[in-house]
Amino acid sequence: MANSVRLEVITPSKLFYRGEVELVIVTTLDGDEGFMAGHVWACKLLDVGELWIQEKGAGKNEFRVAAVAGGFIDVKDSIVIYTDAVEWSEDIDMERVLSEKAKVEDWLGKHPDVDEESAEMQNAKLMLAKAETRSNVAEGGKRH
Amino acid sequence: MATESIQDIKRRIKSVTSTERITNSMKLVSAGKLRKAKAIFEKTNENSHFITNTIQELFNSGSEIPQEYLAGNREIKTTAYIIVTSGRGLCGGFNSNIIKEAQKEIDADWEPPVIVAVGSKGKEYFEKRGYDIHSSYLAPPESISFLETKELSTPILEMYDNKEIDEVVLIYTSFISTMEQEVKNEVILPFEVEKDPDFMTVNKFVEYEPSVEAVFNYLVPKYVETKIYSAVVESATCEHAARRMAMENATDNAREMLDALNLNYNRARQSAITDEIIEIVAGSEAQN
Repeated sequence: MANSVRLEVITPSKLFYRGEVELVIVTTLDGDEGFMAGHVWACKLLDVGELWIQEKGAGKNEFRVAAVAGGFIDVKDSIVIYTDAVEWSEDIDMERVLSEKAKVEDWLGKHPDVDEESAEMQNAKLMLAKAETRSNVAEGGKRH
Repeated sequence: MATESIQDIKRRIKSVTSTERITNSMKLVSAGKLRKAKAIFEKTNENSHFITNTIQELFNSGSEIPQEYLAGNREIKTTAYIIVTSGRGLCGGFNSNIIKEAQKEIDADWEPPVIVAVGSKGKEYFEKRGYDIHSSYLAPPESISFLETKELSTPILEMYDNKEIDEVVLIYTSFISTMEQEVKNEVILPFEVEKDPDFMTVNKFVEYEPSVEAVFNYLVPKYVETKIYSAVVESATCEHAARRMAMENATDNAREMLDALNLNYNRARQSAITDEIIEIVAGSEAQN
């Protein structure tokens, strides 16, 4: 059996997850990356993306999946993920996701000539990415 | 006359009783809210420690980090004050303590301050005295979300980056126990992180990705946001604790008053009865 490592996922207002895991996969700015016990110490920024957790004792392909709104991961003797917002796949409210997505798309449709680099555009893109991630995660994530 | 004062006392008893009922129920409500706020506060506290620790580690990692957030890097002229008060009164000295401290700090500065008010009490006070309020957050603090604090902190960071302000001070009430709260003022920017020799013992290689600078630039706004957020949450906890205390005292006082009034009422009633008996006796004697 693989070694396990302690994982904590924290947000500003609550402790989202704490437990022993065998493998945790996150989306860093450079792409997906998995961490297991004994990883070299690291501190990496996370993109909007999926979080996959294989809990201690879980089967080879049993993962718990959550949507993460960016943040960072701190790997030491234990792993800490800090994020502004995170949701388990089963808790995602699809209606809200779709309405938010529609709102952003509507805005983009009305403002076709907004500067690519502007804060508004960046924000809209971020919202869109979040909505997409969440709808992916709600359907079981891209690895399914 | 005795009858009149009996009625007076009765009226007062009635009004004090209803006041007592109100304060008592406010006390119970505050106690409930306090419990809820405390739970959030404890979690937030943990989280803000974590962010602070990570930043400290970065400083001690020995790599080059942008210097503009470090203390002693530029002269401090304009200070931004984030003043966390409550939106409602009836909580004893809670707001006045904060405002007193803030006023003291502001008076000590040469340059006019930039004020960010959280809670309407602080905003009203400084507005009345002609200070310029840069921005404010007025909804009840216990329901503040992290996103909303972001709206407060982003303009502050921008101003700091543009060198419009040189220092950010957070004035809030810190929670010690349900009985005791303390006004705190904390400089959140620039950082005063000293290289801690003990920290160097963990001289392990740490992978930073994309780079130390990027991680640092991500953490700085996070740090400010978390600080503000946890201060607001902490202050909300204190507000409920302060209100609970104030209402408990008010209830006790009302009960004391009721005791005294009841005594007076009974005395007045007794003396009225005695008067009547004397009159009856005197009347019957006169007939004989």
